[in-house]
Amino acid sequence: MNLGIRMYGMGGQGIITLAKLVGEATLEDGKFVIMTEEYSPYITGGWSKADLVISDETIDYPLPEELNYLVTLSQEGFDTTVKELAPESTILTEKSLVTVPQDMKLRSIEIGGIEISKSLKNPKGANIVLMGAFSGLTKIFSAESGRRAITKRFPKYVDANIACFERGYEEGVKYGR
Amino acid sequence: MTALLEPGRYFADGNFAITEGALVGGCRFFAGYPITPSSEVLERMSERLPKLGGHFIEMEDEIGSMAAIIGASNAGAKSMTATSGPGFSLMQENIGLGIITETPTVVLDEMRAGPSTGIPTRVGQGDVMQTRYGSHGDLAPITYAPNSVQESFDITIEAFNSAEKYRQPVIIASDQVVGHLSEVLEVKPLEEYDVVQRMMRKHDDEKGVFSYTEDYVPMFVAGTGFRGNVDSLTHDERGYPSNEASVEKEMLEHLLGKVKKNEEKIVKYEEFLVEDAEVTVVAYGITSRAAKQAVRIARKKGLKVGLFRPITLWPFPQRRIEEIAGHTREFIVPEINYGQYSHPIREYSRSETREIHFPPGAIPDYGVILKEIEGAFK
Repeated sequence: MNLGIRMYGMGGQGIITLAKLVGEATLEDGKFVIMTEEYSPYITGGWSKADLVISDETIDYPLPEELNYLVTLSQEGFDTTVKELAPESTILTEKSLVTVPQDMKLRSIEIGGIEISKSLKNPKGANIVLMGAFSGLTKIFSAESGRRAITKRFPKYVDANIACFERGYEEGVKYGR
Repeated sequence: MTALLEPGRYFADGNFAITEGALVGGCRFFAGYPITPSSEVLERMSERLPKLGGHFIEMEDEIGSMAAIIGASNAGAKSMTATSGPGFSLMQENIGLGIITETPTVVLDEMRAGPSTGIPTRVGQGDVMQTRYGSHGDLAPITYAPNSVQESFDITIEAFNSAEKYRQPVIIASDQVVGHLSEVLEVKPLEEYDVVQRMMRKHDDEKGVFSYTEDYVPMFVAGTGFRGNVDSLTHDERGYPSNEASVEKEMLEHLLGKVKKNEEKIVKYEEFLVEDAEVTVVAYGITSRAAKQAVRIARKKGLKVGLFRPITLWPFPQRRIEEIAGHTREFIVPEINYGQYSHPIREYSRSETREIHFPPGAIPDYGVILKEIEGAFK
């Protein structure tokens, strides 16, 4: 197994945090994982992205050989990455921020992360909703490891974030194969 | 968190690893000025040090930062700063001050695209020669170039140890990618780490502040009643300035000699399939990980190629490069610059040396290295 995943969004949305949580949870499940991050030199509003490679073996080269998944919270992320995706890839988008063209051939799933996080009174948790959806959809990492990674990273805000994760997970499972 | 890192597995980035490695290595004073991509080290130090009984100062600039860590070390604390190219340039004069005053301290230069401000958030390896020759005068720097999160942690502890053993500033030349990439970090129980403690002078004896014959002279702690002179001018063993060429010779041969004499102990490298290699790739930092991938693929195609990865860029791994040159006919040196480390490789190997110049700003494409390897076998 050798998977490439891209997370994309705008500075401030928690894209790097999302990727780190996915990495942490995947490592927890006993897989090898490496993550590189890049962002424009602004604090908020600029682009922000992270690439993950997940493998059963030690990883030397830090960039993905091919991209199998895209998780994006910005239109720019969709527009710039879509041509780079491998055939059979899956795209997970934030419904309120990304418009997927109708003739899209790749599998694309919209998740209302912002709406869900607001309804759970954790408006900053849209990235965590997407994390949950990604777990439910792909099973790349287990829900248990996801919860543990969240608990480790946000010891003061465990419940609010776990709630977002679980709602996202439920959404993701609906599309799981 | 009020203690050192607990043993276990972490999904961490290079900057986290360097900070926590420094704390394990005994760092209790940090002075710095924030600069991408090293800022997370400063940020984490500001939170961690006060809780560990240490001190953190955000300085007005990098000249002051370097001066502050030299001062703190002379006052008894293991100290460190973190910067990137533009700040590292400003530190050069005071790095020389640390060398001539034989002050142990650690400088992290996390290389980014240059010259000048360059691209703050993107990788470069253009400071390699600056870590060797950046400060004026003759000096024998020790420079480490980690290529992973794990090594960033381990090598930082070693950098603090080397600083103490050889009483001089030690440089960690990491790069933006290694600093910001996240992967597994395994931390052992603390007692399993070898940490060199500072030897302190207990009495105001007749001995000089320095010794040009002994390997190591314990330092005194400034501000605790000792009498001694620590001077940036050429000085004798008492620390008193001198205009004599004979004193300059004695001092300089000691400063250079303490590293030269211990080269075998200091030099570290990693090899991958070098034993029977007809062509050897030499790569360090993040570039070495692209090189390893290229070497692995080339071997599958039957090409006898190996990878030599210097972990200490300086002192230069001269003996080993000369040995490898005995059975390898050609060297390939990929770097994220326009040819720096290729020069000593060519000089010491006396072999055909191909350079690969990756423009700063991106992680090197291993395909380019593979192509060059294939070219060397045509």
